[in-house]
Amino acid sequence: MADLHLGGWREDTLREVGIKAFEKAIDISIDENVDFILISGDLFDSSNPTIDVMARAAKKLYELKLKGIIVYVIEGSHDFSPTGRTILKVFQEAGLLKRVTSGEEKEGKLTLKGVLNEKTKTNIYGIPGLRGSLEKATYNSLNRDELEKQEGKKIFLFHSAIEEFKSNDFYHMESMPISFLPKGFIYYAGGHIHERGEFELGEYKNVVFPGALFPNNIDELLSFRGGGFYLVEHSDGLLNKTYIPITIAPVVLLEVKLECTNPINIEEKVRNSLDKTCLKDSIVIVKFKGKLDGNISDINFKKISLFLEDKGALLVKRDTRDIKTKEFKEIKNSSMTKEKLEEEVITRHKDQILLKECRMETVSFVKSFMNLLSREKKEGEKKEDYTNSVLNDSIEYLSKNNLLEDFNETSNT
Amino acid sequence: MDIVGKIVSGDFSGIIIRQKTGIDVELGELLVTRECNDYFIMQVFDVSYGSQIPERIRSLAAGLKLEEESNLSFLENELSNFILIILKPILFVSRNKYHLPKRLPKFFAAVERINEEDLKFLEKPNTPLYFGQIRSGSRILNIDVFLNGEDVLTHHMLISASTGKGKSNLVKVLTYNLLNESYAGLLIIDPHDEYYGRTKKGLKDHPNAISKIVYYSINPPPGANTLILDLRTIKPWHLTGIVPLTEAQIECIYLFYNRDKENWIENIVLAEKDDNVSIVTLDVLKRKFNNIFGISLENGQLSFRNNLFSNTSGSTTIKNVVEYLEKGKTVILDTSKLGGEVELMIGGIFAEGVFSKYRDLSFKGHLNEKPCISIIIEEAPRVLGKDVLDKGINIFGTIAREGRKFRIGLVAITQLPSLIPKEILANMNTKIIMGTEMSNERSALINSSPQDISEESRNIASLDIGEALLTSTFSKIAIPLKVPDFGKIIKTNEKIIKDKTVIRGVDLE
Repeated sequence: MADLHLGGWREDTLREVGIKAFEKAIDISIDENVDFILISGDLFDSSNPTIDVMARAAKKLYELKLKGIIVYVIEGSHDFSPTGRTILKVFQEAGLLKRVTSGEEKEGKLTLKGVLNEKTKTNIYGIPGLRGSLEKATYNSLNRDELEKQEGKKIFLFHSAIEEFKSNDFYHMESMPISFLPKGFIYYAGGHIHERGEFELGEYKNVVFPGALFPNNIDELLSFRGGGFYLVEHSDGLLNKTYIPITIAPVVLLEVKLECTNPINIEEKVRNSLDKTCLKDSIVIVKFKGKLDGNISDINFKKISLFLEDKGALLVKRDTRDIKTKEFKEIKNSSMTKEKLEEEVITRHKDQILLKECRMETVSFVKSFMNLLSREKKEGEKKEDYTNSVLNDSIEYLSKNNLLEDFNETSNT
Repeated sequence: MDIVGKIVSGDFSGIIIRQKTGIDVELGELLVTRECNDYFIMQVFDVSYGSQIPERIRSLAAGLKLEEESNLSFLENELSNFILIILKPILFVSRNKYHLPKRLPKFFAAVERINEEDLKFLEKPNTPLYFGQIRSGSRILNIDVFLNGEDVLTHHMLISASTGKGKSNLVKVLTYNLLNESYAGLLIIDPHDEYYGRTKKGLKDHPNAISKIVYYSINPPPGANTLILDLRTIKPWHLTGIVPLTEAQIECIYLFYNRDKENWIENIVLAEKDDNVSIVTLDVLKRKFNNIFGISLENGQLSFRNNLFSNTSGSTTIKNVVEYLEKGKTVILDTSKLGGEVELMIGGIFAEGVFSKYRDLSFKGHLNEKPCISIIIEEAPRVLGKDVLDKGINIFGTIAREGRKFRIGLVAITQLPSLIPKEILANMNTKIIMGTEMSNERSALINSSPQDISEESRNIASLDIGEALLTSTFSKIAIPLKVPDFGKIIKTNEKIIKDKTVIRGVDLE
């Protein structure tokens, strides 16, 4: 399994559903008498989850420990920490799971040590996923020959999108080519992509992304409605994969079409669109589409939620992204990029800014300054260093453009 | 001053100088004659003997020497017998401004060899494209030749040479230096897998390679991308002009495409019969698709013979390549393991992808925010040859004709430029001519050159490995070049220490 993101949702109810999905997956695994469990990253939504989430996970992992089922994990882009202080390390020390990401560096090359599952004589290796796909640098140094030479059954855990297998929906996602992975393993357990997929390409057989165990955001709820994991059986050289869907609370989509509807009439629209749909213990997503004769803030969402909860819904989420109101004009040009939009806004308001002595033209100045200020904190960069760097760069930039005096005057006043 | 001779006669088509005794001047050499602070640059295009002694006397003297071992010699031999050099005035330089000469230099003026100082007026443009160093005969001057890369690349370029004269080295040098720039994205269709440097030194050894190069191969080395395409991303027009198809087959393809959209190939292969298409046409198409895509039907299931096409992988390959190019990266497609037709189709698919994208951006007014794109094709007559284009226009032909409007250009490499139609050859506004022995090929190049190089035929035939003549709309003169050895460039750059890779996320023991 992969991408459990325990503790990930803001809403208590959905966070609880996520944890229950994990508990159910573990129960099924115990019932199926599995030899071991693989988690390909993002068991938790952060490297430092809340006590409640940790306690619930620890309890379940302890059950597995008692049954002699070892859990092999790698960190994902969410539960990895550049400082190395992650809850997974704590759980490892407590014997609740095993991280498979140890190795040694020889002449700039990384040799993975892996972990041997004694019961099945399977070697398990892995490389964690990092934010911004920084793990590519690690794969670049990986001594693949060494891994490929190893005899016996081998499994590789990774938490990265693979370029060759990306679907159009994930086209913009950072990815790496499959050639980074060592060849000839019996199973490649993938994480990071929340959509389920089984792939095969040349010498890479059984590359499997189980997808998230439970959707992680509203779009995933809409697209996948649920999640699951794989039960994999290996015998006589044959691998049999079975997908096990996990449903804790069914996801129900209520589409409400607006045709210049007044906010007062929305509740009635919701009632009509409900029909005879069973909402018992379900997660209801109300998706509004079309033109609204008024403001979104005038819709009484609370009342709608209460109505649906009365009908048995466990939780109601709303999706108002497709509502068109007079407040916001539709942008006709769909190719408008974020940068272009920003530029237009700056151009429209540039006369409100008085930049005397500025060496640059106002729009270019503002754009460059915004770029400078929007630099993100680098992996491993200390907060203080980051703040100082942005501040120093800004001062230098303003100074270069003869604007530091303006800045001082403004701050003095 | 290194005086080589004095102007003695001639006209605009050829200035004749008498060569100083003891000096050797080569064909193609650049010479200058000065007038106060200004000077003319001239190029040698012919050399002949001159003598003040009548020919019959010279013949007699030679006969006596040969037949009777006589000690006879000419009185003041150096004054009586000499070499005449014929020069073409190519540039007049006046206070760092230069233009084509509109008058002759002074009669009897002294002529010197050119030196680096005389070419200091050549500037490096903002979007530089490096070609090599200026060559004067076989002497290399320490002056780098740059043209405005954006102009040159979008107005198409032709690289022509006989085998072994250094075409591949030139392309490596051009592309290697472009990796330092961000103004252009390059798509290299590489049928010999020679540019990336899988087994020897290549573009992958550039200090910016990690961020600038994307390499696609059906058998990629670690870190490179797999050249694999989802069949659903193939469109009927990817086949036109490359795969021979009859009217009936084209109609069938479009019938399926219009009806089944992206599943058209799969459905043709799966179809047992179709009311609107004859069984024969369907069967022939199935056979063709088996040859091209390696797809067939086995036990009712689609089966793929190779790893180039798939129905589960490679859905974003075309988009990714286009996006890399849009970001100014160099994409190398290793097509060495593909058959001719498939190789050209693959190149065409990506070329079409980027052409459509840029045409779209142009209509939306965003084209100037993007880097220009250059597509490098080896053995260009395979897609730009007269006989190929007569059978139907393909994407490369379209780009040759319309690409400039959308900031996309071709770099066509060939040994046989005469096979490319005149109008396309004339559209190649920059030509790098390397040693070409065949006279009809030289004629094709000379007749379509942006500069008048009609006197250069002999010179072109005698160009040695790595020597070239650069003619371009974007240069005032045809520039004699020496292309540096790629191996030496790599060796020099090896001293640049690349950033140490940081291993992250793994517990190092």
